[in-house]
Amino acid sequence: MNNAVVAPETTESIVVSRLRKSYERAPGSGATYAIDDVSFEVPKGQFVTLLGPSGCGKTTTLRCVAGLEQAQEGRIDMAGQVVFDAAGNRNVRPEDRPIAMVPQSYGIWPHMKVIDNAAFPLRYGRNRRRVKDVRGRSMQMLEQVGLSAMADRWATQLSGGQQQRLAFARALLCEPEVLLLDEPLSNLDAKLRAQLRQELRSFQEQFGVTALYVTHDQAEALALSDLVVVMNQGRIEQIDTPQRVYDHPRSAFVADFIGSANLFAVEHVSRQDGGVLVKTGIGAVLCGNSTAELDPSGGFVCVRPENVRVRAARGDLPVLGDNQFLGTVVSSEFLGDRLEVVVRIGDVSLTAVARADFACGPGQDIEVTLDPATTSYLAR
Amino acid sequence: MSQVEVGPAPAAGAVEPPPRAPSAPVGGRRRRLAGNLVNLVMILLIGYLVLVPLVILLYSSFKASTTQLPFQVAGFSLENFRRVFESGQFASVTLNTVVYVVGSLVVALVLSTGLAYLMERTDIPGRRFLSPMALSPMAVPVTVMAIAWALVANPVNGPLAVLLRQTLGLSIDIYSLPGMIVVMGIFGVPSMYLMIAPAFARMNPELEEAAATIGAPLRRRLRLIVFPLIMPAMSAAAMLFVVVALEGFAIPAILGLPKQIFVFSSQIQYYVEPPTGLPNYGQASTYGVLLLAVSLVMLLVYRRRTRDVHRFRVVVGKAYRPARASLGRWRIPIFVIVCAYLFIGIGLPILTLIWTSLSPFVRPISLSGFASMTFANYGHVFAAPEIGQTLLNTAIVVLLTATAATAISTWIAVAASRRQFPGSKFLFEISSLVFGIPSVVLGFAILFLYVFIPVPPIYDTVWIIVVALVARYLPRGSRMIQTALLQIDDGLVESARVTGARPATVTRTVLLPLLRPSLRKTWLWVFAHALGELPIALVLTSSDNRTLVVELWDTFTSSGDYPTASALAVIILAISSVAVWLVNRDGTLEES
Repeated sequence: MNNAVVAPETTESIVVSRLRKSYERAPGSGATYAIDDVSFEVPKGQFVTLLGPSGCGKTTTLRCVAGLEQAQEGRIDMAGQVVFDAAGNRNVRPEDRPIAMVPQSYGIWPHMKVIDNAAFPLRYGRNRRRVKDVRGRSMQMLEQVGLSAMADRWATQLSGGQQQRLAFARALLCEPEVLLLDEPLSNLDAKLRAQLRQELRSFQEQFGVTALYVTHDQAEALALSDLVVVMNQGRIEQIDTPQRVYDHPRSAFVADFIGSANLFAVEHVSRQDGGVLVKTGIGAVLCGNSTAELDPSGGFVCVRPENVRVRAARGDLPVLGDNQFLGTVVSSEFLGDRLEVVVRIGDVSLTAVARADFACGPGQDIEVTLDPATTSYLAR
Repeated sequence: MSQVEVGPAPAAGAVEPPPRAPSAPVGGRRRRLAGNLVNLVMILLIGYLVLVPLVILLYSSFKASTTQLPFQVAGFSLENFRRVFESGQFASVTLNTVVYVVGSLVVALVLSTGLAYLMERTDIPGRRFLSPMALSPMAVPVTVMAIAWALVANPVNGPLAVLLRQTLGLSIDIYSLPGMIVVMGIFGVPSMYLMIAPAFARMNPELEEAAATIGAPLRRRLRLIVFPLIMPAMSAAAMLFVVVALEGFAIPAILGLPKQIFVFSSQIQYYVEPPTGLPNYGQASTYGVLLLAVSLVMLLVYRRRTRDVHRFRVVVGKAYRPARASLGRWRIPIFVIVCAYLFIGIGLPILTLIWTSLSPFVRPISLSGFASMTFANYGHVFAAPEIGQTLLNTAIVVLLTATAATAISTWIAVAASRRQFPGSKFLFEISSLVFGIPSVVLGFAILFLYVFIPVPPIYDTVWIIVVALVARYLPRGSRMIQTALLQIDDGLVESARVTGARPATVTRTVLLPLLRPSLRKTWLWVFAHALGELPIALVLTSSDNRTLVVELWDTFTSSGDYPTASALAVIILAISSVAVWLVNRDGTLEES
């Protein structure tokens, strides 16, 4: 980037701090916020995903970063420069921010040829090239995304996947500090989506561009990201690596939204060696993982179905160890590679994943083991 | 808000600046200033086009003037309103207007709903050919339409009147309230059809089938399922029709004035330009204000209704085959009835017009007449003194109006959609006020303006007509562009913006090319309508700025030389048909 003001050395491409936006005209005390006190950082060269259900504020956040919408409070730094600061009354227009964007609908201009679409940033954007260099540079990029053969076709003649690649090529030709992607795969069919997901990640790594990606698809987020920012109702629930978000969800929402999780209510909590001991509807459970603070009024126990171990009950009165419970099978579903068993223990239903050849039927007694290492306590 | 420059900025105004020009924030500020200046000029221009006529109208309605111009009277009073409400004339004009508007509304609703249902939901043969035919009156300027009907159904020698008298013993007179109602009703069919047919077309047949499987017969299905679903579209179309019928001038003037049947719009024109004596501007303004009030109420209801249309929209992403109801043994008889309507309602008047234009004198269509067909009438048209000036005036008026109205409409619509400056949305909304101003009223409001404040000195020139016509077509034009803008995905413009391209560049390279089909459509639409727009040209005309349509009016009403008038009407019809055909040639017919 050849910015007018030299950016100080920084490892963060984007720093978003305390961003707040309401769509109401004059947000009062009871205002609802589309995004509420959102802060996160995007390290240089990394792939960061904003993940959440629709209406959680992830797209609004992205559009605020792009400058297409304006927040009421907070501040956004980009490559060491303040691009938005509500307190300082400072807002850099989108055309002056060092960004590129792939919108959900790709934004491929139907009245232009493929090459003209790609060359647009070089001709009219903030990094203009000499007229004679434009075509060469654009062709080079089209080559890299595998579209050089289509360069002189009309953009509307491209398939969905090709349009997506073209949008990506065009964005990269902006030479952005940050690439913003707004659910770029959501309009494709499942098979193509998986293929382009891989391509996207390899392009991003190849060009070393920083990416901020918005999706509601947890599989996409887990597969692509260096960091996942999970959002819900305008707030950030958790910022972590994909592994940690999955293994150590920090809230019941995250646990439930990413993958599937058994969540059941806690009546009493106390600290113990090796974790937290909680009293629940199925008895005392030792949780190896826990959120930092305990909630004396309750919380949840969270355990993934694949971490619930089931075994046929032996004898009339089986000896139960710690974190072992006796339950009744409610239903079992054969899914080819595995068996999904719903077990009832007291008032609580648990889903467990068993080997496909595990034999059980409804009404049968069953022994359930929760390993403390994979069982988490989540404060409410 | 402070403007911060991050990237290198090109020099102001440069289209292809040298790469990486060193930047200074001054460039941005200067561009901002230029942008604001353009905005300011446009706001003033639109305010001038839209608000000034309204203010002048209200102002003069409170001036108790009879023979003087409104601004020559001191003080304000309700004298005009008192006089209007006390006169016996008011009651009869109101009654005529109500009968005329309601009657033609019923005719138009029955015809267009029936046609739309037949074309969209039944297996009537020849749909491909019948449905464009049903829409063809769109290409006929209303003045031409009224003259054609006067020729075809006048009681003396109109072919239709003669035919009915000879075969059925019926005597009909087009110069009557029922005559006006039928003509206005037929004229209103295309625009109504265009609003109602899509409602039928997008109705998922599963909704009807669901009722059918429960055992509801066709009649009950129509009443309980189909009718409620198209009701919003129908009532919206009806509101719009009422506004158009209220302000329409050509039909009441050509078919009503000979027998002194007045409705609001022709009454206003009569006050402004009485055949004898002096104009009564006070009365005219008062009628204008009343008419405007009714139209605005209708438009407000219309806007509510169109919002309901969205609520009732039952479009599904999934494609479905519209199942058509079978007409059974009624298939052919209904087809014949539709064809008969199309022939008598549309074909015959136009044929008679063309026939008359080729005849030495007015006579019924007959085989024997073919021998004496002549182009002499067209010769008369072009031999008339100052016809060159008239043609030039018409060309200037029509071309300039179409271009200026399209340009300003685009600006309003784009500014409103981008919220370019505070109040841009409001500006767009107030431009729709003009839609409620009857064009007779708009014409004389602008007349007052330039008599009152002769700056710029355009009174008696073609420019005054251009100003009035641009004001008249702004609301329609800006709505056509706005509809097109709504269909352009935001991502297309946003992805151009984030590359760092300047707003002006984005507009030039992305937005306008994407809008091009709609710009063309809007231009042609305004072109065709400006050509046939009678009342404005009539009120603002003088010896120096005559246009073709005024020439047509004068020839038809004053000289009584019907063959020459027909030749003129055919010329106007031909030009307008080409424009309308071009509008509809590519893509679907749109609500216009």
